[in-house]
Amino acid sequence: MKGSAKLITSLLVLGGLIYVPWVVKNPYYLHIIIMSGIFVLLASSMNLITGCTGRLNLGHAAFYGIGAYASTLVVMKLGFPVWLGMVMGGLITVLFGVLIGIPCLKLKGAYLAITTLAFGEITRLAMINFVPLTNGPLGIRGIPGPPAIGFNSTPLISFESKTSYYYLILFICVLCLLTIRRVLNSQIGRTFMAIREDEVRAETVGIDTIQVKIMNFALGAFFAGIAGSFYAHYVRFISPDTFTLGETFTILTMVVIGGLGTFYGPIVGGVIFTFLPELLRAISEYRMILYGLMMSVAIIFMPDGIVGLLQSWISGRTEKGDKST
Amino acid sequence: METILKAEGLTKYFGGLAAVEEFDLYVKKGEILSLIGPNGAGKTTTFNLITGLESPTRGKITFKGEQIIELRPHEIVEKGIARTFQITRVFRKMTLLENVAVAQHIAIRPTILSILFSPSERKREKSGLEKAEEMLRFVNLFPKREELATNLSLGEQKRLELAIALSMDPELLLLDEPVAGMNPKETQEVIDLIGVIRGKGITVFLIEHDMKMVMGVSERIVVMNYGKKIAEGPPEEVSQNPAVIEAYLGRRTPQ
Amino acid sequence: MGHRSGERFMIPTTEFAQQAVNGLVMGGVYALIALGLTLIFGILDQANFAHGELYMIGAYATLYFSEFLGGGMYPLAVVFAMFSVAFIALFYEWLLFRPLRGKGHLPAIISSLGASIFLWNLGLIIFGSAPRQMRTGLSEVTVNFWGVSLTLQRLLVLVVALGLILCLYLVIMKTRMGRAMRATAQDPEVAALLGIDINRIAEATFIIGGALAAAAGALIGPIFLIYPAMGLMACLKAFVVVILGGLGNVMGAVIAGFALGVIESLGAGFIASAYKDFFAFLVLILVLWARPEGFLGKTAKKAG
Repeated sequence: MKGSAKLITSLLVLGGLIYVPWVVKNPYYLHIIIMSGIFVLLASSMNLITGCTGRLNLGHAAFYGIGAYASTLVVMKLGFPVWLGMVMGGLITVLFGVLIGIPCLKLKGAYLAITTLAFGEITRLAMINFVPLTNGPLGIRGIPGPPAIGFNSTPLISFESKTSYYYLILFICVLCLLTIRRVLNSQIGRTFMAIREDEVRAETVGIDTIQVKIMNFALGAFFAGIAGSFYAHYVRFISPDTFTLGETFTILTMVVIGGLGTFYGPIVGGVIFTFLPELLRAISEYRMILYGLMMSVAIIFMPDGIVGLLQSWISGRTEKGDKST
Repeated sequence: METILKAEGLTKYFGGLAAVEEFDLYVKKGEILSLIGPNGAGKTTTFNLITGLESPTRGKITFKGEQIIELRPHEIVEKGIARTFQITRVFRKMTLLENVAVAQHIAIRPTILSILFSPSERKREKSGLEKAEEMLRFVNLFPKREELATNLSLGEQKRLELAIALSMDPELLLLDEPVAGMNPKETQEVIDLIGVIRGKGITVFLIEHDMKMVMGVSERIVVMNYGKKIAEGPPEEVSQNPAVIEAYLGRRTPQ
Repeated sequence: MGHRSGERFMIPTTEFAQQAVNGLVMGGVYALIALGLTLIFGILDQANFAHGELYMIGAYATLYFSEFLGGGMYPLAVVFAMFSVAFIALFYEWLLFRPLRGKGHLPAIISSLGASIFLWNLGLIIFGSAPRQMRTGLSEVTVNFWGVSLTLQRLLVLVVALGLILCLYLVIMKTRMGRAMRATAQDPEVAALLGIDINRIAEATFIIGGALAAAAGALIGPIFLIYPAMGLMACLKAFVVVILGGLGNVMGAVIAGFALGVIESLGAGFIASAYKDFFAFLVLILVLWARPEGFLGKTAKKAG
């Protein structure tokens, strides 16, 4: 699409999204939509690591969880304000992203997958076992939500209803996705792709692959951590059961089906796979069976996901393909 | 002329086998030097040692007076050495433009914060992309800049490799068999490009099997066999050297 | 696992020996699972994340076959199970790996991950989530030697594991197929030029891997409970074993398998049994930190 057409479409979509709470009054549906926002962030963050750089991170749910716990603990035990806590949640997750990323630097393929899986499980076990800090398997209740925004003591936006949370996650998503988009279309995004294509060759064109790989993990960790922080102050209860390997698999399915390495892929995947369980209510025991099947079928028949399929369909019809998505 | 690259006593063992043994080499600034020898003589290994893809078992390499053995490949690129690969290694699922632009990394030096917040960063990126386009024009691949590298023919891939190498702004360009598999017309195009490159003051060090090209283009030739240097000198001298002729069994590669 | 944590006051060496022998039993199981995995790595240069499910299906198949065949037919049930799972493994190759041959490492990892998720959740539906017990009567009889006691079942595990490993060794070293497999593992391009058909090799590799994993499940079934998710942890540990022993390194997988079994058993017995599964991870991370190519490993090139 041409630049101006893109801008107009984006504004229309944004307008539509802003209008959503007027149309959707049912708090449960709104909740699903809010969750899809969280998963869009999670899928996009995983895409940075696994899609763009081609490094399979099977411990991604750990970043999600660390963000949630970090933000919660910083607010409830250290008394930080919630807004600061959420940012801290993201930053602390970055720290872990770097800590985990460093030993993973020399690893590739299956080695990397297993090691990140191990880190993910170790994190979850830590959540269960460090009871004084995390309250163990019981989780932490009564997490405060964000304070009302307003002047003096007149609240303009209070976080009592789902609507405010919706706008908050919308705001966070737009901010994060714009950032991710900027990164992907920049020189840094190109270095990610180069590492995916041929890491040794990337070194020989002047890319400091160590620095870039750590930066990549840090970025992926950050956005997952932000998603976790939001989750904590939205649902107001967290427990280790949320941040499991199964969750990582679900996020991976979102990225693979949506489109590995594309910008819109994880967005599409995140939305679809948050709504799908609702539609598949009747067959919820078969849900994971379906996900597994879809993941295998997708990687064999449409390795670039839905978005990749659409892209090649579109560029087959026009002179030049638009590579910036 | 001053020496831009010097290798002394360069030795590389793989297991028990010496790929390169006590190899001494110097490259003069601004010259076109060719490295020839039968297959398996150690030529590509030498390139790998210079560019940091392998570490030598013994010996030293100095570039512009600095030791470069301990450096990582990307640091060697920063110092000013760029190379192409014998079997082309382009980034297949990226476009030509992206392939060349990514090699601007040292020029652009992005960090996350600069990407997000610095307006001069955007300018640097823009000029990086412009430079990438210029490089593609230079090797005559500009029309295909939005195509995926994997769609290129072999000759085009070799030219893309050249564009990638040049966009790193090297002082020393290492070309590993730049005309392998090309027809005479393509070969001549590459020879012309090398001439232009040389004219810009870039030192060219190349490996080739195409003798006609080597004799025509080089000012000086070094001959390797079994990891050792067996001859060195201007083309006329080297082509008469009995040891060289013997190494090739009196054969000249097809023209 | 039979560790007698309440009797730590007993002579430490006997306790030690007991834990060690128990560890060897588990080690045999780990080795069997890891062997298939390492063969797939070495010969086909791919990671099979659905390998644990072959183990799981092997256990259930043995359960069902022995119920079907009646009492005392456990050995036959094991054989049937091995055949069945070998057949399923063939489908792995046809459906999950062959279409992706030559496309790098990531796609096959994802496709086998998807298959793993598919199969163990399918197992949940078909077999139910309640763990099952396989009874063979061999767990009732205990053998004692040198202060160490083993149930007949555990002894059987050890004996059969060693036997299968020996069979594998003979196949790989002495048969034509084995030579072809070794050639492919060393250099696939040259092997193809020599006329070796990669598709047949791949099928053979999966059949062998599947049979071994099934045997592991069949043997371990009567000792522990069987449940659909049992393949996950087994697969993880198998990967740890393979990485420790070196991708594609058959001898390495055997040694590392037994080693892991013993380390786990001693660790759980003497340090903390709750964290038993933890040890595999700990060992993995420590080893990879020191040597990214694995302990006895091949070059990291094989890994990614």
